[in-house]
Amino acid sequence: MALLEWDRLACRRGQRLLFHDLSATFSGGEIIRIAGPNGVGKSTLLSAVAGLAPLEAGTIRFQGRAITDADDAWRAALLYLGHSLAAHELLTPRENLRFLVTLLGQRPALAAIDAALAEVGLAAQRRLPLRLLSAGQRRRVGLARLFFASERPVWLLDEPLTALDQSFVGILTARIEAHARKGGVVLLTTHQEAPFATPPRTLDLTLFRPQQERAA
Amino acid sequence: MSLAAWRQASEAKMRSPKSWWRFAAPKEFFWLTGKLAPWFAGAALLLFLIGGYAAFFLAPSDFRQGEVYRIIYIHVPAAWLSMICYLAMAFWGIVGLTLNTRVSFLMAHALAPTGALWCFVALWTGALWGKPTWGTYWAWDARMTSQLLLLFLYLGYIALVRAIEEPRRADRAGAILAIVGSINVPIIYFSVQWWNTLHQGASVSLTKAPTMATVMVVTMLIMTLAVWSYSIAVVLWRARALVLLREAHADWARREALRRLGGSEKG
Amino acid sequence: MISFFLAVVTREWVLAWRSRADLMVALTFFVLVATLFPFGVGSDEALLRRIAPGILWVTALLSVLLTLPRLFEHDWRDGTLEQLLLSAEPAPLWLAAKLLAHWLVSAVPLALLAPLLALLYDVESIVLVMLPVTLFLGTPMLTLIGAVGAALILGVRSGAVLLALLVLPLFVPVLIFGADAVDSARQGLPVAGHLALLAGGTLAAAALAPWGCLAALRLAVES
Repeated sequence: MALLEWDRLACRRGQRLLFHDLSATFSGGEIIRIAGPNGVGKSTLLSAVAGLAPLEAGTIRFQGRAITDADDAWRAALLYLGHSLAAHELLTPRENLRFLVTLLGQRPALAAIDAALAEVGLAAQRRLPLRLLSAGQRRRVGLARLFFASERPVWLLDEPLTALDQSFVGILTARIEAHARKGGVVLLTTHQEAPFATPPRTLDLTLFRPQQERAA
Repeated sequence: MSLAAWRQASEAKMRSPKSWWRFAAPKEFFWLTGKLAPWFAGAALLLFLIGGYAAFFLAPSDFRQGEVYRIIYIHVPAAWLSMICYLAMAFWGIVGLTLNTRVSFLMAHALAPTGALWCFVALWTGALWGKPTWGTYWAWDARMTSQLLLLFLYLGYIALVRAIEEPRRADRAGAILAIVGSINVPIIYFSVQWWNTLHQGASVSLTKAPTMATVMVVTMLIMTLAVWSYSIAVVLWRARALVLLREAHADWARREALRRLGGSEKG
Repeated sequence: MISFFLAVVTREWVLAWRSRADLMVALTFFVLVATLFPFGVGSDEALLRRIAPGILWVTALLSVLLTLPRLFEHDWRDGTLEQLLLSAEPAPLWLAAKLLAHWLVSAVPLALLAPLLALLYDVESIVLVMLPVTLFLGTPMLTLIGAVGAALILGVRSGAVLLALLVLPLFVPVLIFGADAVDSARQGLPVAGHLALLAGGTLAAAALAPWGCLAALRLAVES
């Protein structure tokens, strides 16, 4: 059974219809790369799937059940990493990660937080305020959340590889592949080439752009 | 029935060609308001003529205030309409938020300038009435002060909706503001009334209408209906313009807009 | 649930402490404006004593207004708000935590500082007591109503000025009852009714404002 189904999704930004009639099914174990040039609506699509932005039309089904507005079960099943850091520059990586993981509904021990930070190479900086860290280091704080999200089957990652060094790109793709192997679904947008063992399935959003037809 | 289920049922009704709900669609709404507005405009004209005649020539002069009191025949209806428009705005905001219909929000946007106008008229006529009658343009009496605060609520709504570029967000933010404001309007009114009774110096009370002869009551009623009809006509016309603007991506809207601007349908 | 609530409150406090210079701005504003008025109306003691409750209430109210944009601006900008909205924990819980933390950090200092400023106006001792009491009871309502406004203007141009227009008319009832409670106490009149109204108003606002606030926050996150 498909884990996630999209049935004729459409999204609008202002007056402009970004995409429509977007239907797809995703099974556990898949990694999907959403492709398309800037402005085509990749981020909007992920936001809409996460329930943060409104869908102009269409239904999303998770495990066979259509999700509604304010769907607690759906929210508990997904992890959304947006463009922004979701981290405050006055807090340390430790404080930021701990809060973010609390938002995921967990009460992590300090050791677990520190272990995750070590995995993303922030062990030495874990007690420095974020404003002293580089852009790449700050991004890695948010990515450290992935180590606490294995219980959430659906991962929506918007440009997760931005500002990362090659070594961390490798760690990230390994983590994503591990999640997929356990039965999760990972949808990500990226401009960069990621060293996945098997190339991920591509969903080209430009195929769902409206032709320059006017509505009747 | 849950909200989602009810909303789905309503959306089905909106698509059915026989139901009243179909007027929630912009194109149908545009057609309906086009048919209705002229009637209200005509009624308004007629009522203003009758009411104006009655106000100036038929209603007797007040033995204390002379002729000046006649200004209440526009002051009171204006005050009432300013309140009614705000409640209507909140109503359409609620409808829009629950049913997710664009047209409802456009009705709310259309109501705001008219409501603000009547606030303004009520304030000015109140001042013009106050000066010859009680010697002051502005006395901090309960009704006028509440009226002033209501004007600020209108201006806030208009400013918020204009400041937000994304139309969906502007619609809904306005609706939230209108709903919060409408809950506060009675609170503001009663607190100001209470405040007024404490700090009242000379007994200036624009709320105390002179005991009214039947002619006065009827005239007041006619003028209120006139102001109401006018407001409906103007709001419907404004809503139509907003619909054309909002639906500019649709063929039918472009045709209508071009027709009104005197252009020809571009091939 | 409680540990989540505390986690949010703690984070807000830590952030407030680490940016404490910003908080001083509102307090300084409060002090400055309160000292400004005598320059405008003259230093006649009887006059100052009479207008002190109103002046100090208005000034406190404006100071609260100044702090409102801080509530959600940063979280909205850095993406924390999205994560809060996606969180499995009930939204009113973290919202209440944020508002409580904000009130404790921004409004309570004003209430505590007010009696000191009231001394500048040579007020009676009853005013020195009633002023902080009414501010304690009234500022939660200001924070709750103000939060709805702050959420509505996130990312909107000229947001802070617009916030004043949106929220000040709604503040008027609180101002009326708060200032009058102090004034009535000064005149030896009963104030139980005023205080009950302020407390009741805060409870009502606590019940209703979160709806508007969350709806506005979800809207802000969409764009």
